[in-house]
Amino acid sequence: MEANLAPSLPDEHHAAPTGVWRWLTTTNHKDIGTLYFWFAATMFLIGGLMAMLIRAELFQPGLQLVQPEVFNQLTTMHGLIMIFGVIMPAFTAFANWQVPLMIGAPDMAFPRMNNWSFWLLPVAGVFLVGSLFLPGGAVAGGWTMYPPLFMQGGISYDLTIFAIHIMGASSIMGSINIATTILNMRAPGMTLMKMPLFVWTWLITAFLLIAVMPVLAGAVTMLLTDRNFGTHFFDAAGGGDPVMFQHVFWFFGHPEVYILILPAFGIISSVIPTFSRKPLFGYASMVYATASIAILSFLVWGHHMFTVGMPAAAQLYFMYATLLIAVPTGVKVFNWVATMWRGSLTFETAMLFAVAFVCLFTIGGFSGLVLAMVPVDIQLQDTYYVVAHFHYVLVTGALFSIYAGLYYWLPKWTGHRVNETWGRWHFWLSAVSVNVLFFPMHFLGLAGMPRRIPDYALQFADFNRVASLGGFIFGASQILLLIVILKCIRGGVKAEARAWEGAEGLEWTVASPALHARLGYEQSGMSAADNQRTSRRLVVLALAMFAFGFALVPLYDVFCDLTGLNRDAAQALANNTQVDASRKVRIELVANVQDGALWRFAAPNLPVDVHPGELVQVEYELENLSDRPLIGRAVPSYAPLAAAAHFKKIDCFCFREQRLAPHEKIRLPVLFVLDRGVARDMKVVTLSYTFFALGKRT
Amino acid sequence: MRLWRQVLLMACPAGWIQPAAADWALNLPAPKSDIAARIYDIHTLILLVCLGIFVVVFSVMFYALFKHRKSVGHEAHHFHEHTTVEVIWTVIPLLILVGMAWPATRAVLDQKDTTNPDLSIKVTGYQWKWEYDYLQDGVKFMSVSSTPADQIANKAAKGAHYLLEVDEPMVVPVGKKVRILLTSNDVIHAWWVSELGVKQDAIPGFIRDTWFRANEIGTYRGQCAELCGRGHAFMPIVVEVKSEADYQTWLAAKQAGKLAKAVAAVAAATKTFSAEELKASGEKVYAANCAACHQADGKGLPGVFPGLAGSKVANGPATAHIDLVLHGKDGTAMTAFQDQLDDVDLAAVITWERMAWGNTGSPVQPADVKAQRK
Repeated sequence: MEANLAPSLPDEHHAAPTGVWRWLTTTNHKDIGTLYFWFAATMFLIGGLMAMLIRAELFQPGLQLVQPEVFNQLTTMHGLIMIFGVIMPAFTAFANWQVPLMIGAPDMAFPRMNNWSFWLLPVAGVFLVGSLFLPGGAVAGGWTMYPPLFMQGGISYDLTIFAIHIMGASSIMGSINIATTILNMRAPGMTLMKMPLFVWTWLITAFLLIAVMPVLAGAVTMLLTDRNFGTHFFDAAGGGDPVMFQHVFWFFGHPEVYILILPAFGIISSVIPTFSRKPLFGYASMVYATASIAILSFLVWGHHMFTVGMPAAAQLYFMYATLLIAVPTGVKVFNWVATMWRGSLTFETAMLFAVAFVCLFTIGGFSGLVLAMVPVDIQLQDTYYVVAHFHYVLVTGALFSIYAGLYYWLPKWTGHRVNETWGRWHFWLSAVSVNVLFFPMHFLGLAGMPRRIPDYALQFADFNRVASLGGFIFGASQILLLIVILKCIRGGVKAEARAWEGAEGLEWTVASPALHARLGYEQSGMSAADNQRTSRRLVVLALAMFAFGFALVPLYDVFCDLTGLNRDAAQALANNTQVDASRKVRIELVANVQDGALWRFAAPNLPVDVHPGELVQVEYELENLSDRPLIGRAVPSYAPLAAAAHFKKIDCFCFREQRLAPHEKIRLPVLFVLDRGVARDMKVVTLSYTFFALGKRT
Repeated sequence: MRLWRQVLLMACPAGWIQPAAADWALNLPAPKSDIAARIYDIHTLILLVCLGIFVVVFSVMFYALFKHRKSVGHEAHHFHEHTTVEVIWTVIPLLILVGMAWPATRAVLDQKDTTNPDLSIKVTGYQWKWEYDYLQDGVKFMSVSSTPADQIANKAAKGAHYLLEVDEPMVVPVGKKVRILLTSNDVIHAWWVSELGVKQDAIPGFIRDTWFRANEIGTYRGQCAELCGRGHAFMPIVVEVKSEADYQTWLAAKQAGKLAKAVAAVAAATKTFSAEELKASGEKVYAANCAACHQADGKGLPGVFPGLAGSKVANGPATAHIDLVLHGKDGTAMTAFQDQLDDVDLAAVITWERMAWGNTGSPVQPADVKAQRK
C-alpha cells in the first residue's frame, strides 16, 4: 500500500513562513489540528479553574469566596467555555489531524477556509472570557440563556451573543470542510461502509452541526433583537412566549449533546479494537446505531423542559422518544464489550481511558434513563442529579474519549511513544477522583439540592465536601496530562509507523510523525469543482436551517393553536351554544399585573359558576394610578391546559392596547362561552390575565 | 412496588432516608403524598433494572479484562458480526423500556390531572420571594426567606433550617387536593417541594397549574429550582400541612389579622414615630427586602447594584427617595415596592436607609409616604 503514497500537492517547502506568521497563515490540516488542540487546552485551563472556584465555594455552607452574582457568572461561563471552547474544538482537532490521514486525503477539501474556521475561535474566546472584565461582569443566566432572565444583563450579554455567532460560524465552516473532505476525497476503494468508524461519527456530527448551529444562531439573534430592537419573540407582553425560546434552544441543544459525544464513540471504536487485537464486533450495526442516535436527537428536545407545563401527551411523546435512544446507545456498549470478549487485551493508557469510558459513560446513560421518566424528572429537573448526569456523559464520556484519543494518536503526531508510567498515574488519579467528584452529586440531587446555587442547606454539606475534595484532586491530576504531552513532543522513544501492535488503518501506514508535507493518494475523478458543489449544498442546508430557526416561531404558534396550549386558540366563535344545564363549571378569575405601582388591575372578587354552552360576561377593572397617560396590554392564559381549547371568547380585551388618561378607571368586559366539549370531570377552570405596562418599554 | 419501598426504607439506616436530619442522604426524601410515593417507586424500579443490566454487562466485560488479556497468553479470536446476538441485544432492551414506561405513563396522567381541587392557591414568583394568594378565601401574603444575613456571611452559627426557612409559610389542610396556580412577576422560577412530589415552572404572563394532596401533617421544605438571578439560592418554600380544624383556625386568624392590620395601618399611617422606632423596624424590613441587592452593609455591588451608603438619594431630599422606593426605577432591577409594603414599613425602611451607614438624610413618616402614593 505504501507504494501508492506520493506527494499529490505542491509542497510548502519553498519559502515556508516561520514563527508566528506560520501559525497565522497555515493551511496545513496538521498545523490547524494542533492549533485547535492548544486552543481547547487553554480554554480547558480557564474553564477548569472556574470549576475549581465553584467547588471551593461549595466546599461548605455559607458564602466564603464569591458573591452569588459572581458564582452565577462562574457556572454560566464554565458551561459555555467547556462546551464551545473545549470539547467541540478538541474533537475538531482530532478531525483535522486524523480524517485526512484515515481516508488517505492529501489535506482538507478547503485548506484556506480551514484556517479561517480556526482563527475565528480565539476571537470568540477573547470576547467570551473578556466579558468577565466588563462592568457588571459576564453573563450569569446559565449557559442555556433563558429569557426573561437573559434580558436583565448588561453589555456582556450582547457580547456573548456575538461570541456565540462567531463560534457558530466557525463550527459550520469547519463542518462543511470535514463533510466535503469525507464525501469527496476518500482513497480509491474506500467506500462509505469501509471508512473507519471515527470518520463515520465525524461525518454524522458534521451534518448535525450544519443542521443545528444555525438554529442556535437564530435563537440568539432573536434574543439580541428582543434585548436591543424592541421585538417580542420571547416577551409575553408583546404576545411572545419565553417558553418558545426553550423550544428553539433545545431543538439545537439536544443534537448538540450528540455533537459532543458521537466523535467520542468514534475514538473509542478505534482504540478498543487496537488493544483487543481484534476487529470491531459489529461495524455495520455501529454505523446504523450512530445514524439512528443522530436522527432521534432531533425528536426529543422536550425532555429538557418537562416542568414548563406542557400537555400530558407531549410529555409522554418526549418520554417515549427519549427512551428509544437507549436502544442504539445500548447496541454501542454491547459492541465494545463484545469486541473485548476473547481478544488479546493489553492496557496501555489509551485503552485504560477507553475502558473507563465504556463503564462510566454507561452510568451517565443510566442516569439519563432515570431522567427520561417524566414523573421522576419532575423531582430531579434542575437538581444536582442532572449535574451528575451530564458530567458523567461529558467528563467521563467526551473528555475521557479525548484523553484516550490523545494517548492513542500522540505517537503519530509527535513521532514519540507516550510515557506510559506518567500516563497511568494520570489515568488512575483521574478515574478515581472523577467518581469522588461526581458520584455524590446523584445523592445530593435526590436529597433535594437544586443546581446553580452558591449556598445550600446544612444537610447537603457532607457530600458537597466530598465532591469538592474529589474535584480538587481531579483538577490537579490534569497537570500530569500536560506533562505527558510536553514530554511526548520534546522527545522519548521513537515511534514506528504502526505505533501500536494491533493498530489497523491508513494512518498507521504513514511514518510517525506524519510528515508535515501533504501526502495522499492520487484522487480519482474528484476535483475542486466537485468539492465546491458539495460545499454549496451544505451552505444551502445551513442557511435553510437558520431560516428554520425563525420559522419555529410561527410553527410554535400553529402548534399552540392546534393543541389549545396558549391563548390565541380561544378567539374562535363558539359553534354550539346549546346550554348543558346538567352541570356547572366554576371559573376562577385571576388578574396579575407586572407594574403594580402604575396600574391597578383587578379581577371580579368571586368565581363564577357557569353551565357549559352558556354565554357569560365578566368584568375586569383597570386603573391608571399615575399622573401621566399610560399604555398597557393584557394577555390571557388558562389552567388546566386542556381547558384552553374550550374557552370561546366572543369579546375580549386581550392583546388590545389600553390607553388610559391619568387616574382614569375603566371596566374591561370579557364575553365568553365554555363550550360543551369540556371534559365532565373538569369542575374548576382558571382564566388569568396578566397586564403589562408598555409605556416604559418603548 | 410499595413493598420494595418498605424494604428499602427498612434496609437503610434511618438517617439515610429521614429528610430533616438527612446528612449523607442517598435517596429521595420519604414521600408525603401519593404522587411522591409513586415517583419514589418508579425511581426504585428503574434504579434496580439499571443496576441489573450494569452488573450483567460489566461482569462480562471484567471477565474479559481478566481472562482475555495478552499477558496471560490469551490469543485473539477474530470473530465479528453475529446477527442473532445483535437482534437479541436490540430487542431485549426495547422490551425492558416498554416495561418501565408503563407505570411512568400512568403517573404522568395522574400528575397532570388538576380537576376537582378542594382549594386553589395562586403562587407568584418574584425575584426573590413567593406570594401566596388563597383565591377563595381572600388571604394573600408574601413569603420571604428568614435566614439572617449573618448566617449566610458565616458571622453567626447556622440554624437547623438554614436557607430553608421563611417568615410566613404556606399552610394547607391535610388530605385535601390543593391546586397550585403558578405564575411569575419577573423571570422564570420553579416551585418545588420534593416530599409532596410537585415541581412546576412559574412563567411570567402565563398561568400553569399542578396539584398535590399531602397525606401527613408536618412541615415540608423546598426551594426555587430554576435559576432566577443572584437570589436564586435564597427563596425557599415552606409548606405547613395542618389538620382541617387547625387550617380553618389559621385561615380565620389570617383573615382577622388582615383586618386588624388594615385598621392598625390606618391608625399608624397618621401616627408620628420617633426616628429610633423607625430605624429599629426599618433594619428588619431592609434585611428582608433590600439587602439581597444593596447588601447588609449598604455598599451594594459595584457595577451591578448601587450602594446606598453615602449615596445621593439617601442623603438628598426625602421626596426623591420615597418616589424611588415606591415606584421603582425603569430599566433596572429596582422594583416598585408600593404594593409590597405598607406605609409604615416603607417609612421605616426609607428612614433606615437615610440614617444608617453614616448617611445624614432626614427621617420619613408614614404620612409622607402616603402623600406620594399615586
